[in-house]
Amino acid sequence: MKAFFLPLLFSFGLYSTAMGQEPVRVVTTIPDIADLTRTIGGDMVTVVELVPVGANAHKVLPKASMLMQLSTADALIFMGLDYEHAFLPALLEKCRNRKIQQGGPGYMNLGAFVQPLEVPSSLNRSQGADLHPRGNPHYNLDPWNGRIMAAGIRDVLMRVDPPHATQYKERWQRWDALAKKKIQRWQTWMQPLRGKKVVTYHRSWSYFVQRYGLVVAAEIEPKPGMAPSAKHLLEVRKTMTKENVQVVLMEPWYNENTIRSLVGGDVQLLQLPTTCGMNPKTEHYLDYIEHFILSLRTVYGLPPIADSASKLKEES
Amino acid sequence: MKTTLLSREARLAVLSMFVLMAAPLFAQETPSNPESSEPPALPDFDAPLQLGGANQETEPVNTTSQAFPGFMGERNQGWTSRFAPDFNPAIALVMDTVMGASQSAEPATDGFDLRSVELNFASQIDPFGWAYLVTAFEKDQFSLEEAAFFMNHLPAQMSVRVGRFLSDFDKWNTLHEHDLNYVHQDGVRGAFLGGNLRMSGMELHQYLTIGEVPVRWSLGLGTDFRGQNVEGDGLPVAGHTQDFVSGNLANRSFSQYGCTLHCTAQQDFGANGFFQYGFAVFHTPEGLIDQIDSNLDGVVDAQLGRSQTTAVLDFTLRSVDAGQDTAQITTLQFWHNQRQTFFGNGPIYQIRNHQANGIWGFTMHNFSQYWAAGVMAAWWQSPTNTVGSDIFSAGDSGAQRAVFLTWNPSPFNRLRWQVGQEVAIGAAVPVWSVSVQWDIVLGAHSHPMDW
Repeated sequence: MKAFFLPLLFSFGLYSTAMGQEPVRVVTTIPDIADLTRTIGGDMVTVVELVPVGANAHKVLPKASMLMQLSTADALIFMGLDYEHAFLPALLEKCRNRKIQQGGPGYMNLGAFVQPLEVPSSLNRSQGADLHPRGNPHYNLDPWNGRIMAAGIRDVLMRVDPPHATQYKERWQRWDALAKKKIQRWQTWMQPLRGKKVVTYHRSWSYFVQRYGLVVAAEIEPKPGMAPSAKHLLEVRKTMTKENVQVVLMEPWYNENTIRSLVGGDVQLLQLPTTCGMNPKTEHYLDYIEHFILSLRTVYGLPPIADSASKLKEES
Repeated sequence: MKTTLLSREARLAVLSMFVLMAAPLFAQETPSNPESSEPPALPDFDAPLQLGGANQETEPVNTTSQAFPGFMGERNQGWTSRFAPDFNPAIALVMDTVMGASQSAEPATDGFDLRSVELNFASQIDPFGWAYLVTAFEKDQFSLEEAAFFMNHLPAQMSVRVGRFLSDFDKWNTLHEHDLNYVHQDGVRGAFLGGNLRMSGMELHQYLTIGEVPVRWSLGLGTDFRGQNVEGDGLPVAGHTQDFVSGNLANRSFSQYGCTLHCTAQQDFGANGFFQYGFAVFHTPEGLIDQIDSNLDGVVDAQLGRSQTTAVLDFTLRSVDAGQDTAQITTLQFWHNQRQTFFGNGPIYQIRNHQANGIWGFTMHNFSQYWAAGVMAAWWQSPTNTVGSDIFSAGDSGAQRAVFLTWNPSPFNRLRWQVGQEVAIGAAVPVWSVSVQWDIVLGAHSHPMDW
């Protein structure tokens, strides 16, 4: 009897291992990373994003449900450069999942692969409350860095799920080819805006601004993370008049009323989130960047690019 | 015969060279045609990515060494020394100042008070655990508030904490007073435990899921437990009504130990919020020690242990609208306390059993990342005067209510104004008070899990 059942059980075990290919459980932080992971991972992954769409990552609550997601995750992909400092360190401290701890196969700090801007030469809180010791973490707004993020996602998926490595690579290649095409087009679309001056609320747009040659004439926050005083707003207004600034860039979580005195007339406010997913037009990372670029062209009064959106949509 | 230094061809060549060199000086800048400009060259990432910004088109920089110059620039060189700062603990200093004015007859509660200066150290011990230490300078005395270590890598998501620490008794017990959302601690905790329950001992923690619900529990076993507002000599700190301190016995039996149990569950509420509910129990069979003079010769010569049990039900709803920078938190707690007291002197004494109840809660709304306002209220029965009374029926009770407004100029700087009214146990009339609290944080900080 035993001789009959043992091979049966063994073969059932092998069968279930082969057939029961569970998708790789990936926990991501911001929607951009989640979107790229879904694109590259396809059906081979399940993706959880910890930062809700349209949310300020600095205000995300570390919740017990997140801890549970992390404790069973195969991979954790995050921005790094302290972007997720409000919730991720606390969760990783409590989470005993060694696969996603630093040094584990599923740990992917994408910030380690980009060259950060605005790395402070000294750490002093008199320079601001929202200081990032390792540099500005908003690198996802530069599509060149988007390609680096995608390659990092490919690397970690290939590492934690070697049987599907070829598929991940192929899917990444398709995405990357499209991204390259778009980046080249965006470069030409943004060419007329080179040298144009903008005012930003927070230093979220530094990478984008640097990539496309825009110039930040002033910041609404006197120092990162600090509320503007009336005096500072007056100075910003003077700068805007002097430098002929036409656009203020602001994230949706800051109070529009704060800068009411700055906009109007020739000055337009462009309020955009710093990640994708806020509406169907910006559901995917590349769509989001394109939407941002087209919005900027519009507020600067440049002619619309005929058929660009639909043409690229078809390609994607 | 006319001689020339250069042939005609050579002269022409020199002339053309000059023309070519001078051409850019006279050339007009042609308007850029964006649609026809050359697309940029993009790098390929077919190979696995390289660390440190090497994947970009520009030269990578060593950002780590820029961010942290370290001691004499020697950080990240691959060695350690006695003087390298890398392995030193993170240090933080918290200053909590309160300026108060009240109708109270007790002048100690009025005036400007540097309520506490807290110095915190925390560091990883090794891959298996971390340790922390909290010292405080309060009322002109240094005290060791907490000194404990966590061992994290136990099986089944368990961890253990050993040392002297604020017990994981309920949701709010581990918060120091300066971390609260209002100026003065709730009166129920002060009346039943003498402030936050602090113990020397060990605590086992575990988190798990029951169905889809994350659950966390902890079990503590300790001695030398006391209310945090009770100083070393056992006298209650001004403003708090109930002494609560265990003694130190040479031959301690298990009946003189205290134990805590805390079980709490947290469920998501909206996109960025949670609803948390749980219960906590603290019990000691004979752990509250009274020193008595058994033969009435004026010398304390015996110790008697009293029992106490405190149970709490707590409910908290917290949500943050991270898209609008607003937030809300509401907490409601129900407390029940049973304890023994001794009456009498010498060899003749009487044991009485008391029961008391309390309730407190607060709600706060953050209008922005800078401003918040809220209300808090508490009501409690006297833990020693009510003998076997029914819930909410005791004659001796205290109450407290307050409204507060908080301004956070930065995450490390907080100013709070509070207007409150307190009815002390046995007092006939309520006392109004106004407080201004100013807290600052220097050095390292963290965002722990609120669970």
